[in-house]
Amino acid sequence: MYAAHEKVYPREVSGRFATLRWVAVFVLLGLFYGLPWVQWDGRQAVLFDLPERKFYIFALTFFPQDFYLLTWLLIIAALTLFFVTALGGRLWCGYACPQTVWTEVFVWMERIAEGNWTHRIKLDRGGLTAQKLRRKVLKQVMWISFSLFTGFAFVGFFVPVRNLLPSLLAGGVGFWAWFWILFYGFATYGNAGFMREQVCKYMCPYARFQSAMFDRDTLLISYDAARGDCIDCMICVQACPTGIDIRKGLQYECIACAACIDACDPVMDKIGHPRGLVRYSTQAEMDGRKSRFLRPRVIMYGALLSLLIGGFAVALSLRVPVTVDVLRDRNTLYRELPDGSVEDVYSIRIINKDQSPHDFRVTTTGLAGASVDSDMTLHPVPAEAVRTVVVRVRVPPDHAHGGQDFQVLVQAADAPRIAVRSRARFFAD
Amino acid sequence: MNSVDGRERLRDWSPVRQTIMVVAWCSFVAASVETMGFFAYLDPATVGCTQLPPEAPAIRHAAYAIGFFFFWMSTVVAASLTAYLLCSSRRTGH
Repeated sequence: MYAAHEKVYPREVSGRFATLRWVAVFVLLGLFYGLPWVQWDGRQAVLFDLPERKFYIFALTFFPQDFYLLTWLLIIAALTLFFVTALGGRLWCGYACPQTVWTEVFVWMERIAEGNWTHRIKLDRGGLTAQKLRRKVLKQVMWISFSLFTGFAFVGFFVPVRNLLPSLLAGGVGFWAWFWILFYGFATYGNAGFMREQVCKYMCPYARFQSAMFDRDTLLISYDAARGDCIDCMICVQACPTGIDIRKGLQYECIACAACIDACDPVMDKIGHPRGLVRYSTQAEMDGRKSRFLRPRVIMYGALLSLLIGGFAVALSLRVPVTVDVLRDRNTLYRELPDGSVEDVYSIRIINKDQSPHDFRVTTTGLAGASVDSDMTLHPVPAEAVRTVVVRVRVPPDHAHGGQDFQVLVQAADAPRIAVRSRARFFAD
Repeated sequence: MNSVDGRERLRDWSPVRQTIMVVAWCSFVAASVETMGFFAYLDPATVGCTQLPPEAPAIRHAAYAIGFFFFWMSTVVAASLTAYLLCSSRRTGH
């Protein structure tokens, strides 16, 4: 029942959609390999500095406290995928998924080393010859070096990429940089070199549930069986990277890469039939109706998406670039001073997320008669730094009783907008 | 066999291989999310001390990686047990 996995040898095709796929490969991989090298304000523009717990994305700096924004962004990404799926079907799978994009490059290298698909089949079936060995070694050298380069680019998002190569050669970066380069490189090699369409068929959750976003007006690749002019040339089947026959109808293995369209069109040209026996179409069109673009599903996804993106933009613009944590001194609960007033000691951790330094003033609200005493009246915190300051909050005798909740207000002296409150509790007996 | 005209392209992973890959992959995704969420709220360099130690970046580097593999192992165990129980119940008919 289960045949062992057999390798797919996709026949190479050229055409409109193959070109489009290569454009996508260049744009997406260009971003992946190029983005770490872009500079911004004298530092790497996109850097996820895990050891320093700071994420830089162009003008913005994110701290762990901004984690909710990342979650929000992931939800937006997921909903965008749903929205695109409802409109255009599996456009993601066919053109943008890293699995597709890297597989495209690996197949291209395979073709350089081992020749076209018929050559590759013959090569794999034939015995071991010097030529076979040479071709296989060449392929492996290309694959492995490209994988290592990919792992390097990946780590370049986390470790300043301009110093990465020199420090790798000098042994300056630790074990973990090497480890992740090899880890990511190995994953690329395995996924794009060997597993390929198996990843889509067996491991990808999106491939399984994407049909839930489909309706009769969703773009899909279909074979117009009603035309009846298929000459059974098999080129569409040979071109399919997942090894299916599009003429059998919509199948979940189909990643909508449109290689079969590129395969079929020239054949139709040659026999003098109109193009489009295999084409992008919709179920509605196949049923002889007109496709609708705007429909409840699309409007709903679109509205929800606009709401989330709008909210995200607002949250980002209202983000106050400072966070404080107030901790009571654990050693002494409270202290009575000679004049009868009561003093509590607090450590205040000020996280300045702004890209410029600020001097912070600490005051209290909601605590009658309270005064704040510290070694300094203004607490300087450098840009993107964390400082802990110790303050003594004093309350005169007539107001000092029991435990009282109050708020600590930390405000930048030079920029009143940069202010944040934190709750604390004052104890007097 | 894969014939040149592509007519016989029967290929499927065996159920065991499918299960192994699905377990490894899904638990990898879960562990990645867990690692991000966990370390967003906990700075491994400040565990057990109030002052940030000078070797904080190195501690974090190691802690993130070890934390990730710890999460991955635990999600692999959970996913494997789930797969095992589902598969064996199907076999024995319970």
